[in-house]
Amino acid sequence: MFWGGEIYGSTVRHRTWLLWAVLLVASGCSGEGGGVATSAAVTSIGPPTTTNTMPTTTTGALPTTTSSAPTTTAQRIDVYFEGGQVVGQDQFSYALGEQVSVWVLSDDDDEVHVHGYDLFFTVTAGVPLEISVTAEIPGIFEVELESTHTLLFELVVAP
Amino acid sequence: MIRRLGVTSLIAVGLVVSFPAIALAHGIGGRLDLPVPVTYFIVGAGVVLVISFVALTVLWPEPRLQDGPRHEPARFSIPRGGLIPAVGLIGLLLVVGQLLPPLLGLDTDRTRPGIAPVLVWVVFWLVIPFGGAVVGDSYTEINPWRTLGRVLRVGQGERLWVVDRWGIWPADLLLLAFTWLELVSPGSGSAVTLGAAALVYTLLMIGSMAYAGRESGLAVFDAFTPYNRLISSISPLGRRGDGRIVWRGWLRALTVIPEWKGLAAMVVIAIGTVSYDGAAVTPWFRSAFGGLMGTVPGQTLLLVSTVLVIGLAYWVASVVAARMVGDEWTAGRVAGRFAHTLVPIALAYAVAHYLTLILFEGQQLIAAVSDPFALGWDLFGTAERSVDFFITASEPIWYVQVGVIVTGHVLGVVLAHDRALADFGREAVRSQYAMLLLMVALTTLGLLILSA
Repeated sequence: MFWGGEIYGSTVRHRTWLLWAVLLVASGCSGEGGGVATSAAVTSIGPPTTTNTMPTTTTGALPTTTSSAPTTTAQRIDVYFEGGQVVGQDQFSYALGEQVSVWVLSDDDDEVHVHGYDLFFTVTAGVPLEISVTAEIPGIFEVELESTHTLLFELVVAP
Repeated sequence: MIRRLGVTSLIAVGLVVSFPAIALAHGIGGRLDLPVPVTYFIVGAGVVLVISFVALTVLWPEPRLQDGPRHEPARFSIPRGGLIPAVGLIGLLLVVGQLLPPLLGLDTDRTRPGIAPVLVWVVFWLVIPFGGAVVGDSYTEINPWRTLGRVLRVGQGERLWVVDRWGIWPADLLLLAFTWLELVSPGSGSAVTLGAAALVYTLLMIGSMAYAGRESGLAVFDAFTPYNRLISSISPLGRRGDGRIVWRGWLRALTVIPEWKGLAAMVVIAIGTVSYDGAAVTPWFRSAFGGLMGTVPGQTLLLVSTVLVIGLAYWVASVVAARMVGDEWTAGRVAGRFAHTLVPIALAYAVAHYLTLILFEGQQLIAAVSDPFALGWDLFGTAERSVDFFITASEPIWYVQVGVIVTGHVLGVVLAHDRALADFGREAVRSQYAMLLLMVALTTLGLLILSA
């Protein structure tokens, strides 16, 4: 590396290389009823103000987000971060004004940073986190795991 | 050739597997432009083709720009003095000073970026060169390393042969390294990384000035001295030694840029690195090189490869042009003589690519001056100011981006035509077909990247 790659004091982690034993927990499609497992509900933020580390996860709490689906569905995960690898869609596209909802599951405690909107979500290892934002700013925004600057996905908001 | 490429990519793939995924690094921000709608692309590309055709048939039959700038003094002047150099030096100290909080064990607020990223990636890397393209060279005076050399009395006695021997090749390599830090390095947004890089660069510049003399050292080893010189030569304005503003005339300063060794390489690096950054976020680039994009060595390989591809295209155009005009011309000489004609295209690429970065991320400066070291200060009460993404809509940005690319193409075509007339004579103007083709290709590529 050229001039050292230290980012906020954390070095890039070399983890043991797990096989991508990613369990696809029923992807979004409805079906099984019953209570949702652990759902880290995150309040949606209106204006794009800078919010410092939002401790929104009241672990294991009931989903308090305004879930559009009337029926309870099995936990949907859109992007996994496991063993240093990101698995999932590269981009999630929304029209201006729509409600963003992307579920993230990480095997490590970290913070998820939505650039542009400058929102920080605390993610707890093994607890699904909903990235819930009102798509108010047009553009393409990176959503990263903050400590290692790992790109999880890009949020595309079309004007 | 193809086999070697195969081997290289195998090695690259091997490297990829051993590095964890990293994010695209843009140095600052994290917002990318929405693609320009395809209609803008079609109109832009169509205009480029028409202009190129018209250029071949109706442009002037005698060279007009080759005798260089006119230096008509304007009525006003900006006194040379301590203020601008002092600003440059303070800027450098603020960046290097980012090393202090960790050294002193002070806690920094992670949610605040500090002043270093915006100072380096917006002010120093974009605003100063782009400003120079409008009002004439402003870097020479603000250059903190020149000021430092003056203050420390380093580099008295110029060794001009250093310039003759090395040209600007060392500066070329450092420019490439700088763009690597911006576009590939995972630490590009980190204040500490930038502070360390600035410190290393400062030591390098002091060494260079001590070795070659202040002006020669900076000309050869400071990446930003030739870069700003090239970009600011587009401006019709200039400044004399006494500070008086002069009118140089349109495009005239570009034709008298000294043909340093490595001049063409600098233009190619400027175009290539911006192309890489633009292309890297397009879906087709990702689907083609997705595996490589995930890692530092992979991105490094792609960055360098993009520069090499642009360089190869320019080399081929130079070879063809040299063949067309006769034996006394080598491809190398043609490449040197026409390098300046690509400067407007390089600037257009950079402006189109970085426009929104300046508009949006540049606003971080307002917050950062209140808390330059991210220590939780609020010196001017602006520390909590966030970026306003609504200062402009998408449409004006698209117009400017396409307009700038097309304008850069026009200026390049005009410069190449004028240089071909001067060097090859009227009957050999067909030699510029190769350059024209290259420019159409580059401009179309630029538009394609914008709209992908």
